[in-house]
Amino acid sequence: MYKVLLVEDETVIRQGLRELIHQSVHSFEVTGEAANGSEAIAYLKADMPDVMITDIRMREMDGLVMMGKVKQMYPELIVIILSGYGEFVYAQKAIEYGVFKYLLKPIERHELVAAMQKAQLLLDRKYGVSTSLPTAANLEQTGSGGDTRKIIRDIREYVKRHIDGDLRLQTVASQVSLNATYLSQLFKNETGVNYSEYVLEVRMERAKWLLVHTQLKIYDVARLSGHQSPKHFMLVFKQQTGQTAGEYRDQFTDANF
Amino acid sequence: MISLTFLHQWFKGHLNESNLRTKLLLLFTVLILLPLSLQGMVTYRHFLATVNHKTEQFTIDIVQQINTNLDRMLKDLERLSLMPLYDQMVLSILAKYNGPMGSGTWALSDDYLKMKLYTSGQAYNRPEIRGIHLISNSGILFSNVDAMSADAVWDSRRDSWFSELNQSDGEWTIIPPHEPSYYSSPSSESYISVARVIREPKTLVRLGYMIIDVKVEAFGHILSNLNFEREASLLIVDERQRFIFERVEEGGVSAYGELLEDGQLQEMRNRQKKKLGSREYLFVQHHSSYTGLSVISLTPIAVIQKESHEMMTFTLWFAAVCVGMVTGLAVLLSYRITKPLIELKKAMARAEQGNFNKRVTMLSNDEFGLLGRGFNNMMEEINRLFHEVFVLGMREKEAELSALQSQINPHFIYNTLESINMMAIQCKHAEVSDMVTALGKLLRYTIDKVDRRIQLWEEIQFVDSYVRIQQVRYGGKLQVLYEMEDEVKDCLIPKLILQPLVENAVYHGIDDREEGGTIWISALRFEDELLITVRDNGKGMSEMEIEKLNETIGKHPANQPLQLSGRDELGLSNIFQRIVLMYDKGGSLTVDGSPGQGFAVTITIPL
Repeated sequence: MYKVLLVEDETVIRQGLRELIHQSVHSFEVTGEAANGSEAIAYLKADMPDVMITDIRMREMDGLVMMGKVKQMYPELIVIILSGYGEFVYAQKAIEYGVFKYLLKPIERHELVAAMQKAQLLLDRKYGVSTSLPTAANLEQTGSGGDTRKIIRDIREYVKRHIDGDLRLQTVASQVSLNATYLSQLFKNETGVNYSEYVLEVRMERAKWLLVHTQLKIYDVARLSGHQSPKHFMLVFKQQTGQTAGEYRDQFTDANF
Repeated sequence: MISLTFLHQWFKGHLNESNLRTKLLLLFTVLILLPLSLQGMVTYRHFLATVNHKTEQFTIDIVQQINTNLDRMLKDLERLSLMPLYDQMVLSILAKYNGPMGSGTWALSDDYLKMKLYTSGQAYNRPEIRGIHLISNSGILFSNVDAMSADAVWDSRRDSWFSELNQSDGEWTIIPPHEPSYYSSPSSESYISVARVIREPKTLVRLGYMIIDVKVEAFGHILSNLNFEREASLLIVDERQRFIFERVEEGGVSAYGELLEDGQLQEMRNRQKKKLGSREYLFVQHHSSYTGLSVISLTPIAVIQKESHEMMTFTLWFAAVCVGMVTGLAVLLSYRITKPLIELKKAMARAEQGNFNKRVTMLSNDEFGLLGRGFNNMMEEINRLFHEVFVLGMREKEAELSALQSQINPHFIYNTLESINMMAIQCKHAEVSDMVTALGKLLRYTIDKVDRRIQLWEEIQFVDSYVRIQQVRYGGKLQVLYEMEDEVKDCLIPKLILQPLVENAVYHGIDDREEGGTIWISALRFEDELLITVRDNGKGMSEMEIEKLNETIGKHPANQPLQLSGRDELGLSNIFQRIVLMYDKGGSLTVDGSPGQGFAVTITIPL
């Protein structure tokens, strides 16, 4: 599930957008809403969405000012602008900030959906996901012979895409309609590591990436990389790297910011 | 050359403000009048000098001539005074009455008679002579004058002038004007006399005197015979500067006393100017060595220059006439030359005030003609451009204006539409959402910044937004089919040109039909033209109506204020005008159809 932040000062429109995304694009989920720029910035300090959909003119903070700040925080964030203004000045600024799509209000449903699907392709490539998860029917069709490798690959993608979600063995097994024990065995045989170790490793990579590429607080990083508590995360991190999370981040700070 | 550059400088200095016509006028006038007047002045001066010189020379000649005549007259009289010396009878009679002066008392009447005959013979036919007198030593006076008017015996000691004669030794003497006392009737008339002492030729003993009294007028006669200037004064003096004769100019004063007083009579040279009283005179003197007389003429300078004054007056008048003529000619010429320019200037001034219909009519074959033609072409172009920009601007502002008349911020409208849109989405009203978004697109297309031309597919998209709204309204009764060739999708067409046609088709073709209708929108390329047709299958029109419509579309004046009326012809005319303004003669709009068979409008746009 990719995370979407909605920024729009009109409640009706915000709710409508949430509904539209919920109805039409299933791989996205609205995880945050903000009524103005300041709220959006506050949210972004604690969480990293994949896509931000924002109006460009709002009360409180101007959309363009907000954009500047957001781009500093997350240069790779996909931003879709919805605006009543078709003026060239805005479009120019938007291009300058590397905005993904600029839609004019009132937006057509399929226009937004098309934009979201484009964004999904981009995100899939970024996370190394090729397709959506195979269903059980697919697995039965392919059998368990030469397609074992494909199952394992799917599971790996699932893990990457739900890094801050529920990745317990049982949950994943039920997702692919396999027996948990069998799956554990299969995974160990195929990759040479335990499933739980693999998950731990992926979560650690994600945490490291977040530490280096964002300015999120340590406990946010812990949450976003799927660790139960910040304390637990600190411990594990220290064990894994021999550094505290803060120290690890500091050695990269100069390079990135 | 120097004068030209000077002129040029002068022009530059003084004529920057004046217009070309004045400049030309002045140039002509100066160029013609300057040499003319210079030449006139030089010629005049030279002429004046010559005339004055000639007049002076003439005066001198006259004076000389007068003196010559005077010489001749006096010579004559001298000869006359010599005659008794060769007349034994006269000599013997004079000798008879010898004795000291004043002792003579009488003479024989016979002697008187003889002498009278003699002297009368001498004086015969000499009107200038008043009297010829022979006076013996003792004072007996023989005369040709009759006894009544002259004394028979005269004591010469009574008269002071006589002593001069007495002292002379036989040479002839000229005695300046005096009043002899031997004339019995005292007429107080003075005479000039030529006199001689008569001596016995052999012994040189004095026998008596001979006196010839000459009337003063005789001198005047000499002058009147010659063409001597009336207004000049003439003065004759003898060797001792004694006054002999003077003829004073009319209204003038005697100059003798003054000249004598100044002692200038001797040293005065010829040909010099002299002031007497308030007037200037030319002083000319001629001395006769024979008679010892000097003839002096005093001609007023004004008289000498009278001729040149006349000349000057004439010259000035002639110059004035010339100036007048030259000025007239210059006016005419500069007017002729600058007329087209001034017309051009006026036309330009009018153009500056916004009247682009003024044309220059005077088109000669010179540079002015070229200018005029250039100006006309320019005005045509400006007029065309003005027309295009102004009228097109009006057409394009129209949509914008009508939207702005509501004074609602478009952004507010879009946001409101978006709110409706989102509400519809939440309630799963897809049609409402579609309609609202279509309306939003429609508004945006018309309200947003007006581009002159857009690509065909954009216009089609816009038309489609409109159609979608209409379709919702008509609920399935309205069908629209697009027939687009791929190659024309990117062609540029005037914005908002297609939608009114579709609107026309909807309202006039479909609106009143129960069963609904279909509209075909097709675009195709034919050679170098893009043909766009909007056709409906509505009630159509009769041939007459079609013809009339085609006519009115072409005739509708473009500058008529636009109305947003639903009438076909006006809407169609507006579209047609826009096409004509943009593409000139290259674009067109034609209507076609027949009753019951629908109606079609075709736009042609050059590619």
